[in-house]
Amino acid sequence: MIAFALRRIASMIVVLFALSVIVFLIFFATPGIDPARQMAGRNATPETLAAIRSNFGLDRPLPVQYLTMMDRIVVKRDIESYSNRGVQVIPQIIAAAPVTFSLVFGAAVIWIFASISIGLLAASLRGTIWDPLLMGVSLIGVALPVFWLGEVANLVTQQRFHDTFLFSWVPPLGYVPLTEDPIGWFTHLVIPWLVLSVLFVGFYARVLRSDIVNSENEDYVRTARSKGISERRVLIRHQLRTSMITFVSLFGLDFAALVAGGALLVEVVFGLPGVGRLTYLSLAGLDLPVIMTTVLYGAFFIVVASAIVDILYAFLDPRTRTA
Amino acid sequence: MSSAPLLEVVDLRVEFETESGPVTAVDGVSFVVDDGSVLGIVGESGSGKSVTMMSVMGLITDPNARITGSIQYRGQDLLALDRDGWRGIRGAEIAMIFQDPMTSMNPVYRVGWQIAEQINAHTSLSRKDVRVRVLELMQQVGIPDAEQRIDDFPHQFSGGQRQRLMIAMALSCRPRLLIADEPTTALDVTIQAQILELIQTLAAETEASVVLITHDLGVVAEMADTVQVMYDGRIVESGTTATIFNDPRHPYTWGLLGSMPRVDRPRPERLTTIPGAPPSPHDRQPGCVFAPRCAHHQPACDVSPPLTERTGDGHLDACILPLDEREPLRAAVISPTGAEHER
Repeated sequence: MIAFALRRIASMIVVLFALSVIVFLIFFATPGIDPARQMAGRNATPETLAAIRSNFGLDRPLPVQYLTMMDRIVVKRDIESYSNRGVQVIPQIIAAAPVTFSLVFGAAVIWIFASISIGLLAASLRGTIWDPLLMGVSLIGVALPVFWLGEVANLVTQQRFHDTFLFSWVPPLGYVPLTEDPIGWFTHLVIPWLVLSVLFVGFYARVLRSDIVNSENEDYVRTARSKGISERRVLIRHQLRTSMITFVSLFGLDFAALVAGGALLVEVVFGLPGVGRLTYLSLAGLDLPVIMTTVLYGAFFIVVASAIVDILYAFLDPRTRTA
Repeated sequence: MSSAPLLEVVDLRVEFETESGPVTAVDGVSFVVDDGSVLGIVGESGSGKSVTMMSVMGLITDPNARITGSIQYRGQDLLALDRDGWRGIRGAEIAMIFQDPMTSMNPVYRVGWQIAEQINAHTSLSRKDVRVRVLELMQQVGIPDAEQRIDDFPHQFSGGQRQRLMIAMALSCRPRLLIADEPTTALDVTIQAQILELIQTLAAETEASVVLITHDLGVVAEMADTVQVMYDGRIVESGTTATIFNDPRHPYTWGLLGSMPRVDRPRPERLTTIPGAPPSPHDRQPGCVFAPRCAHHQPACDVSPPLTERTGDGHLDACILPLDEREPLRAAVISPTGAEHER
């Protein structure tokens, strides 16, 4: 277990280092991308550009720039935004993370329950019209672009039908911390949750249904049936249980990617000040310190999540455990 | 107790609807299994022997399957059972051991749990008593250090041990009928005999009847009281083991016996083979199913010969050859004269 943890930490450091170098090179060494020009605005004089470059240390050699930046992100933690001078980046991320966590966590709860229910239902209704119907609806869910769905949800709940009894409870866009107002937290997030989870519900339900249907031909399912246990128990304790192996490994990575900033579109559409929105704004303004920091933050979560998935995987599938 | 036999199958037919038309896997099979007896079902792959017994367990879940005829267990019509009705039969009255022990157990559960699941389905023993029973079963089937191994996972056992565990599971609720579907095919030769002996001993101890499905005639000779030979979905010959081996009457049985090396007869130069390949169930023709490969095929074979008892000793065969003409024909197949090993 200790060896496993050490291996994981070592690989995490390697991944984070490689990622930071790549992202740094993309923004600092790619011809045509010039943070100084971006900051100076249109029609800046060469003098202004030079002043900005020396001011921000952009005229120094690349390795020095890289090390200085990493030093300020990881060690000193006092890196400042280029666009808003004096604003520190790390506190910004620390403020944004709970928003993203709230959004992704709630959506994940919905998508786990809904996709398992739909997958199980479709698999057990195989041969009836309900199975293809459920799978068709799931496919539509997968195909709907999340930003479009978000805008439609806003249109319906904020404008068109906001004054009807159906949606009068929906508060204006934005975020309220759970600790301040739990009910407000919930009402602000419930529509974003639903919108974010639609794609995943559809996808996971389809994967689960096909895993369960395939397990029908497994010998151990035939054995289970021959024991004289109920069909329901065969389905849930045997077919669903083994199908969860794929489900959980997919889930870990999707969850991490969303926490890392993948919920960007939903955050932007619903005006939630989360990590994804922060990344979006920093990309729009080529705000390199923020980009670098959010990328490292995201990579950190993905690496941690994949370690958790590996541990869970060993728990779910004893065959992968080594003595 | 009624006088109905333990298991009586009458005119069982299993058809699968496929894209290229219906396929008949089992075509009018009838047989009886008595209490405490061992029936061997012999035939090549695709002869319908597994499908027959899977029907008896209600394990044919394919929605395209159509099962007709009658399967009576102690006078109870199994084909009329609904899903819940099967639960009282499966595992409790009729249990089954499958061919491949490597895939027959759920890989994610501990073996003790899997055996306990079956016991829990049919009894209301306490948790502790169930565990005691599982340990007892594991010891009975010869798993060393059962106390330590009860919480191991299937992949931590060898193939032979897994088959032992499957036997423990099958016998856990003292079924009256044990169906063993090629229980040794996937195992090493050295393990095969041990597993068969274990099935035989435990079935005898619990007075369970056994239906042994196999393509290994040696296994049948060793274990079975009665034998039925299946070919292309039909029974072509059935009788006591002694009569089938000493006085086989159907040319297909001759072929099977002739293709088996024997140590109790003069060794032939080469073993006989049955020409041709088993027919595809898609293009079944009327008449004797074996006719296309039979050396003694006559025009009259194209009308299906019924399974007939000719000597009044329960020995049935489905061949139209007159009984007295068969002896020399058979001798040519089973111990070919002049082909004996002399040097």
